[in-house]
Amino acid sequence: MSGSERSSMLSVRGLDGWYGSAQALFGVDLEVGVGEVVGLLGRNGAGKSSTFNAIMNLELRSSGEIFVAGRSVAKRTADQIARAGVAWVPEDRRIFSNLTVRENLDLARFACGDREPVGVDELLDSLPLLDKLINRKGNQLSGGEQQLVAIARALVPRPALLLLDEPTEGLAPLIVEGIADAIARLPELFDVTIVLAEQNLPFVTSLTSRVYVLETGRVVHAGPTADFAADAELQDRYLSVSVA
Amino acid sequence: MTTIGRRFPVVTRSGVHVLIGFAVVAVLMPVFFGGSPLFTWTTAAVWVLFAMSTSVLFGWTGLLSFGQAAFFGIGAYTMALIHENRPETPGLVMLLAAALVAAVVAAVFALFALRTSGAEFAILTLVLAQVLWLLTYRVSWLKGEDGFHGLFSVNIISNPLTSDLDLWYYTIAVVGFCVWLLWLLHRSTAGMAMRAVRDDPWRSAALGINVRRVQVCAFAVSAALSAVAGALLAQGQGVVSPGMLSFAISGEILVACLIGGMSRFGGPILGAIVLIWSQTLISNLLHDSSMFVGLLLLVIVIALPQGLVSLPGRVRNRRRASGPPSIPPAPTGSLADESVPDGSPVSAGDEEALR
Repeated sequence: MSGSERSSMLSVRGLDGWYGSAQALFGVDLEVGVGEVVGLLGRNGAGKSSTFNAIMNLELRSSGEIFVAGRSVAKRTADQIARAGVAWVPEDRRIFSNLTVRENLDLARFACGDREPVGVDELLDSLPLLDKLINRKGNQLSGGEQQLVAIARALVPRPALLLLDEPTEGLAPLIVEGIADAIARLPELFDVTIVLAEQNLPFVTSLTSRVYVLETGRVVHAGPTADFAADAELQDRYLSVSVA
Repeated sequence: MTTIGRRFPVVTRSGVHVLIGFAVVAVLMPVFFGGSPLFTWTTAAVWVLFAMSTSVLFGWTGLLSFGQAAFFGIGAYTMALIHENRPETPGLVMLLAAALVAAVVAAVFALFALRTSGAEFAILTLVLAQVLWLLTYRVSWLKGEDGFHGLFSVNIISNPLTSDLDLWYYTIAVVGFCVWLLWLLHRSTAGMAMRAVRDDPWRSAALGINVRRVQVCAFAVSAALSAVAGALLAQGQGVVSPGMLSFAISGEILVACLIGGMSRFGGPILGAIVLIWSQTLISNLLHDSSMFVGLLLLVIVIALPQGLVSLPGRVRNRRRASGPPSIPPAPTGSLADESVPDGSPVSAGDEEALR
C-alpha cells in the first residue's frame, strides 16, 4: 500500500536545505503513510541525513513544506517537533556518554508532551538486552548496544514517526541482523511509522515496502523496494561506488 | 562516594550524605579552629557556595561566564540596601531577597544574551558585570568606592550574630542547605537535561528539551545562589564595595572551579577551599602573595587538567600501571571481541541478547 493510499504520517514537499551557502537538498518530496516503513537510500553525501536534519530543523537552514500527521512542522524548533511526535535516531547515535542508560531514557521524557511515556518495563519486554545495560554508562556500551539504546530512547515518548539514520553503520553483520529484527517489531509494538535512511540494501529490503533514492540532494527514484532490489542497473547507478 | 551510593542508594538519592557531611564539618571545625582560622573557614564556606553556583552554569550546562561576580555583587548590594533601610529584617530573608533579585536579573539578561553562544556569551556576561560595577560609582545611593560598612548586626531569627562561632554556624548551615538543594537538582531530570544540553545541544533539542529554557533556568539558579554567597559574605565581613563586582572575582571563581575540577559534583567545593586557604596562607608568609598564589594555581591546573578531584583516580591508575601485569576480565558487552570499521566495539553477547 503506498503512502498516498493511507492517511499521511509524513509529507515533505519541495524541501531545500543549505549548510551555510552550500545547498544540500533540492526540492525533496516524500510521502509516508501511517504505519509504513519506508527506506531512504543513497550513497554517502546523497542527502539522507540532511533530509532528516531538515525535518528536525537542526544543523541546516531549510525551506519547503513538512507535515507530520497533517500538521505543519516546518517553522518549529527541534524540541517542538520532537514533542509533536517525531523521534530521530542519528547516524552517530549520540548517546550521552556520562549518563547511564536509564538516565538516557529518562531524558527522552521531555519529548512526551501530553503522551504517557513508554515505561522501562515495556521497553525491556520489547528490547530484552536493555535489561543488562540499564545501569551502564553510555561510554561503556558497544556499538550495537548504543544503537539499541538510541532506538529505545527514541521510543520513550511514544513517537508517531521514527527517523532512523543508518542504524547499521559500523556494526558487524550478526548485530545488524539483531537490529533488523528489533526494528521489524517496532511498528506493531509501538504503533510507529518508520523512515529508514540506509546504504545497506539487503537491510532495507528486509524491512521496508517502499524506497526513495537520493542522489546529490534530489529524489531520483521512488517505488516499491522489491522493484528496486530486482533492478541491478538502478542499484548500480545510485548505490555503487565507482573506483575509477 | 560510589560505594556509599551502591550500598545506600536512598541516601545518595535524597542527598542525606551531603547534609551529614556539612553537619560534621560544622561541628568539627570549631573544635580544631578558632579566631582568625575559623573566620577563614567561614569565608571558604561562602566561596564553596559561590563555586558550586558557578559550576551549575560552567560545569553542568557548559556556559562560560566571565561575569559571575555580577550576581555575587547583586546579592551583597541587595543585602546591604535592605540592611540600611530595614535593619531589623532577618538575615535569612535578606538572603532570599538577594537570591530573587539576582535570579530575575539573570533570567532577563539570559533571555537576550543566550541568543549568542560561546565567546560572545562570555563577553556579554563580562559586560554585564562591568556595567553593574560602573553603576556602583554612578548611582549615589550605592555609595561609590566607599560602599557599605558596619553590617554586622544581622539578625538570625531575632538573635543577632555576635561572634565568629555564630557566624560560622550560620554560614555553614546556609551553605550546606544550598549545596544540598544543588545535589537534588544535579540528580533530577532537570539536572540531567543541563548536562545533556552541555554535551550535545542538538541531540537534546531533538529529545524534546527546550535548550534555551534549560540554559535560562541554569543561569537563574546559578545567579540566585551566587547572590546568596555574596550576601553571606557581606553579612559576615560587614563590608560591601564595588570590588565584589570586579573581573578579578569572576576570574577567581572560575579558577576555583578549574582547580577542583567539574567532572564530579564536589570538585568546586575542593577548589574553593584550596583557593581561599592558599591565598590566606601565602599572604601570611609573603608580602606580595598574588603572584605566588597565581603560580601555585597554574601548576595545579596544568598538572591536573581535570582538577583535584581527578587525583585519586590518577594515583590508582599509576599504581595499577606500576604493579604486576594482569589481564582484566572483560566487562559484559564492552568489548573488543570483534572490531568494526568505525571502531565501535561490539559485544560478543550482543547478537544473542538482541534476538
